[in-house]
Amino acid sequence: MKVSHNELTGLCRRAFEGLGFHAGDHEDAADMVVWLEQHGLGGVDSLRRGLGHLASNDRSAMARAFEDTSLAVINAADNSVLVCGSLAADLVYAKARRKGLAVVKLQNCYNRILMLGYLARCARRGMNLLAFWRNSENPKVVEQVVSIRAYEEYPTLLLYEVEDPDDTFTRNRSVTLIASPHFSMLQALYPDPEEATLLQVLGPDDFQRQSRHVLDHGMEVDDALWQRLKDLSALTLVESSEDSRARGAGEGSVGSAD
Amino acid sequence: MLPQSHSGGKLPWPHEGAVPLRDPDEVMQLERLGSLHATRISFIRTVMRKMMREQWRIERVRFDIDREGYGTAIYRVTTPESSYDFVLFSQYLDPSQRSDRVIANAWDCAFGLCLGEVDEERLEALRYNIPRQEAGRCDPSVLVLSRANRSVRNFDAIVDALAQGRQPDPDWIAKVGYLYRTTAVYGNGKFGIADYPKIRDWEDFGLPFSAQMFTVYLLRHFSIEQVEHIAACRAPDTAVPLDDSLRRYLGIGNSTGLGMAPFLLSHPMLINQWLLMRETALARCLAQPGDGERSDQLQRLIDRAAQHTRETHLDDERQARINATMIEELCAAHGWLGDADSADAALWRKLTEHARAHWCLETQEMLHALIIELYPDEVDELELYMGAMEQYDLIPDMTLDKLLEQIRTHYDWALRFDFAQPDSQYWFWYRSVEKEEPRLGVRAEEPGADREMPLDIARQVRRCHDRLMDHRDAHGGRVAVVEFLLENPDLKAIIRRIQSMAQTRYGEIRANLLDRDMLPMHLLRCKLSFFGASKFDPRSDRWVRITLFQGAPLVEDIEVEEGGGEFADDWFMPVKPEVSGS
Repeated sequence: MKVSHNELTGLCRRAFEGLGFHAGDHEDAADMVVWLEQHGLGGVDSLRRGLGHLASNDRSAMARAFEDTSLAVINAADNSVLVCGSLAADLVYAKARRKGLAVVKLQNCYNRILMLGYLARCARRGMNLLAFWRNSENPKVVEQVVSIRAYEEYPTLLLYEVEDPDDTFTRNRSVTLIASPHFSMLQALYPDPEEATLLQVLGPDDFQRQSRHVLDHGMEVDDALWQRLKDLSALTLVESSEDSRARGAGEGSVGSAD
Repeated sequence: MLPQSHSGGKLPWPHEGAVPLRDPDEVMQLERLGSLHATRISFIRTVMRKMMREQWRIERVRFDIDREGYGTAIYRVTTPESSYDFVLFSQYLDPSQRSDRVIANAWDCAFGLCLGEVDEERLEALRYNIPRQEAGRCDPSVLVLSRANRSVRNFDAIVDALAQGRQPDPDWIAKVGYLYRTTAVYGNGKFGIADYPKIRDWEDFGLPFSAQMFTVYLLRHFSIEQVEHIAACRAPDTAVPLDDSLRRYLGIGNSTGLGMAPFLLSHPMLINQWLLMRETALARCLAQPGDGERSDQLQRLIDRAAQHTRETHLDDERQARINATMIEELCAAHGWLGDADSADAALWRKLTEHARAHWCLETQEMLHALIIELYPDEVDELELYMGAMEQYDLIPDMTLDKLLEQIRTHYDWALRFDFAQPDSQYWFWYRSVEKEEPRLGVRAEEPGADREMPLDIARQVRRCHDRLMDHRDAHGGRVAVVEFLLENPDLKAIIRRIQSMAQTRYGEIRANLLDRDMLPMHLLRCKLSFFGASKFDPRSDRWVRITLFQGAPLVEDIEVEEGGGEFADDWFMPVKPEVSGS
């Protein structure tokens, strides 16, 4: 079915709330899903694939494995970046603001591409950011590099194919965030052919065009996922009774027929 | 092209003038917000001025309405920018099904405002989906989706009168000033229709709620044509059309419940912008020197407002008492002006200071609305700044000391409530499984408090403040907010809100919405005043009926204005017309 941006955002927020996400986190998670979908990168599909795991995993098990003033390593404990991504981005942002440059590595997480929307939010607050991760797509490894400049609305996403037996046979589950308010890092459009092959480039114009298309035509969500989100959302609703129907919304003693 | 909305301090604020803006501690009190009246920059005023200025053309292109008033109507709207079709389906409704609640499933009529011309194929899709409202699906070519119920007694009385060849009694219309009452007017992506960002940059409907208000105006036009049509079908030899003054005196009703309240809490940036523009308008006007002509004009407006209020019929004792007081005080204000030096440079300020010292909140705010009427050149441009982006960004590197300072400076009002008192958390707000209708429950008596909606801003601020203090005592005030949040992730939303709203003036409603004495009506009234509502008619403490577009120019008046004089825009607070033959 076709849904609007506002509908998908609202339903995702309530579904994440139904899953027990804290206020603030459920908004961020929903915005990450919708941002990715709005810009043509399959946010809804990412959510669909991760939803079962999201519902069952222990969100409290995340821990900081190492930290100093400009560097942190967080063990996400097999959680989605929908759970831990926004605070990781806020952490790298805060460290970079204080120290000029910061790196945060988030280990043992999935749904990493969903970070894009939150990175865009950080950038509009005056931060240059870069995110790096690798997907193991046996037999190849696809490296994904996102950069966004301070105050810009859209990032640039480049995909490279690389050879790395370690990441082919042992799934790489980390994402590295680099931030600085003073300088930005750009991806190589012409990588060393012996090390990497450029597969795809998505620039700010592509993101903007796709966003416009979605506003004009809506977003496609399969019925089963929509129903699943509604079921999760329903966990936030309160059962009705004759009393609450009569008094809770307060139509008053005068009916509607006059 | 519209100016971008003021947000994040990136755009210049319109100048405020020599008189300072009122203190948010005064403006944002719930009872005062619940005493606001419509002004020149309320949305129906703005959209009406735009229609008149740009000579929007509204033509009936289809009127397949039977003798009982049921069928399909389409009106085509042509603006300098684009064209739209207003598509309406009118159907028989069993009286037992007629309800203004969101949990209703059928209505007397359902309608939508669509981009472009609607062909037969599209019409069939709309015919299937629009009458189903929440249970249907539309696409982004539909900008607004709405439904309405007849005011049955009014509808039948007016049809009867017209069919008998006489005008309906104006007293009757004064009691209920409309033929239809809308019960929801959906925009912004609801049920698959266009998201607001799609139209935000449009010249026609870029301003908040302008598409929704225009749709209500078109319903008003249809309602008049419909009663005339039914009367003519019933008695072709005797029926007469409505007198123009009575047509103008008919508006559209709206019935609103608690559903409107969460919006005010979840859109504080927008609320800030609305209040900021209203207060800017007031400050600009109060800075103007008095003059005899405007003093006379204000006296006439005061008389009209008093008469309009006299003609507002209410069952609600509280509102009836307030209206009676306001009528008395408006008469006193008329007298005060008569005694004052009309050339006094501080005339308006002195009047409002006198009102503040002696008269009730409704009178004070009515006088503000009337003074704003006097200076269109100072005020009307502010309508372009009524939008805002609802964006909240965490400032993760802010220190705890700084955040605590922001709370003490901007949320001191929230720290004044004592949540140890049971009555301070008497209510909880929740969404019901029945169409997600927002409701209020008594915490100690009803189930669902574990799923309450986060409208408890003051209580959240209190909790956040106390945990920040504990953390600061343990770890020092230089700790960054993000470090605190890693250990207190449940406070992210309220911290982000505090940091964002600390940069605004009027966004937060300064009340504890859980308190036993809290009156939800004030929230509804506040939002409705910005829509341009009049004749507030509470049906309970959380349910209100109002009237929109009563007194507004007719579609025929838009055409008359072509090539004519400038639109007077003086239909505020209409009074009952004198009609012969009624």
